[in-house]
Amino acid sequence: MSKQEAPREYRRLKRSIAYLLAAAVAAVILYASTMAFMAVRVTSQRLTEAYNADLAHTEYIQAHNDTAYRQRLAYNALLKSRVAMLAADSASLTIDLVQQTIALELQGVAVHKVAIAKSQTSRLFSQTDPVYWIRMFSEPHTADSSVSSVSKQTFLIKNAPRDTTETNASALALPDTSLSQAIFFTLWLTNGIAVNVYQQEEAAGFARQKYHFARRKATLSRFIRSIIRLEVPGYTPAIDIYIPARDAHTIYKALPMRPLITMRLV
Amino acid sequence: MDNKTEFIGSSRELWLITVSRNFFGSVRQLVHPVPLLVWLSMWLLTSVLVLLLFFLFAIPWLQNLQPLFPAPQARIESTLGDVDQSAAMMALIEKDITRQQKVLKAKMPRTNFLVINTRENKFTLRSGEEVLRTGFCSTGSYTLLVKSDKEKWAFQTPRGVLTVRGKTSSPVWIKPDWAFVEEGLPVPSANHPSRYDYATLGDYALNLGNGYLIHGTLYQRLLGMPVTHGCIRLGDDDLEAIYKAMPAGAKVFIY
Repeated sequence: MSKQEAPREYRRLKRSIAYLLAAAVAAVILYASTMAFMAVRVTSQRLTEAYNADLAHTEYIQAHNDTAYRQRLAYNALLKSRVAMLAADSASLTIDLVQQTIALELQGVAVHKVAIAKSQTSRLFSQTDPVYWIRMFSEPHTADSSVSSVSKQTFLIKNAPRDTTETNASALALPDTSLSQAIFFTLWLTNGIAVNVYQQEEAAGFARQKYHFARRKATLSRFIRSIIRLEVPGYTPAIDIYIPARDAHTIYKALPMRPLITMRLV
Repeated sequence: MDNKTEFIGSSRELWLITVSRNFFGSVRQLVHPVPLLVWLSMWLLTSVLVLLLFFLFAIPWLQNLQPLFPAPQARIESTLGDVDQSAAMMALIEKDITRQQKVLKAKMPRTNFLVINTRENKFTLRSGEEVLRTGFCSTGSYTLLVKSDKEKWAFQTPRGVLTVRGKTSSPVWIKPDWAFVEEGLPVPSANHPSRYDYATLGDYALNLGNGYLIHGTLYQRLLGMPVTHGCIRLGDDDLEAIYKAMPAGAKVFIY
């Protein structure tokens, strides 16, 4: 039956349902947006409370008013954090956004240092008082979870040959050491910050978009669950770092499953 | 011809035709809700898609719009006008910086040390921050050799900070069991002559402990590739330079 022939009641019903659905979608969007904004605010408040409690009053005012002092305070925090990382027996990561370097360290020795081509941070970092970040990173933080476009080192399983004839037949082919995959990885720190490391080279196809999608998908279910329960969802401010693909790959593979990370932001 | 169609048949046939006509009439009546269901499904699907795209892309973007909801700034109750106090605080922080730097500097090896990048299979011989020599090496292949459930060997170069425990010239390789298993040969007794190999390790070897060595190789063309059983292989010239530059006790940083 064509649309013109449909009874008036039928068209009215369709229109009502359309309005109802549009209103429901708009309401969900509005509610989710409010919750998303509140998430940022709550995170900011949490940081303020967590890193302000034992701050010496005069030190704070001095850091607030004197840029030179603040910079030295940040540098000192970075050094303190690096000293704390000396106890680790595996590789750790030091990110210095002031000097624009990222360094893989083993017991205090920078074994692989790379210049950052480009970096950007969530606006929360510039909006919140820098003293909080200085205090936060005066100690290293553990990355307790991660997601990556490449896998960590995996073993190739080789069955032992039964005799020399089989040995010759199963002679190992030379490994392919070329970089065939785009390298992106995200480290989620226990202090609620995410470090995104991207290769600076353009990725072939839609590799970057696919990675973004996979990463967002990982946090989407948590966000939706929270807003369904009428709770303020978590917010993770992020630091994006762009470095050459080879270096990104080296750093990702060298880091242990739960690496220690420190950084200087100001 | 008369328009009126006369039915010629039994009453049972008449009943069947009436029932079937009613049935198909009912079906035709049901045709209206079918487009409605399709239409409703399309709308629901579109709504879900809009919401999904919003959650995936718009929410992170919105959360970065700080000016709408500025984060609470710490309140400054007073300002320091005291120049002496400022200078004193700066001196204090400088003192602390010097102390931290000393701690870190103390961790820098005093002798030459070697840095091995296992992903790129490159080595760097360093003295402090100074690079003395750099080149290619070969490290663990990340192969798991499986003979049985109980006999497995993982060929990987250990990562971390190792120490040169000893140095040898003209080293002899005492072949472990896996060297025979890998070749498909029977494993000989512990001191069997076939276990002693006088050529494979090159002119020098630096012992890193747990059976791991830095040594030479017959397979120079494989330098720069992960092909070893866990040891670090170097080219002849690089091996000699490192052997001479690295004393026993020198650190080897592997990542």
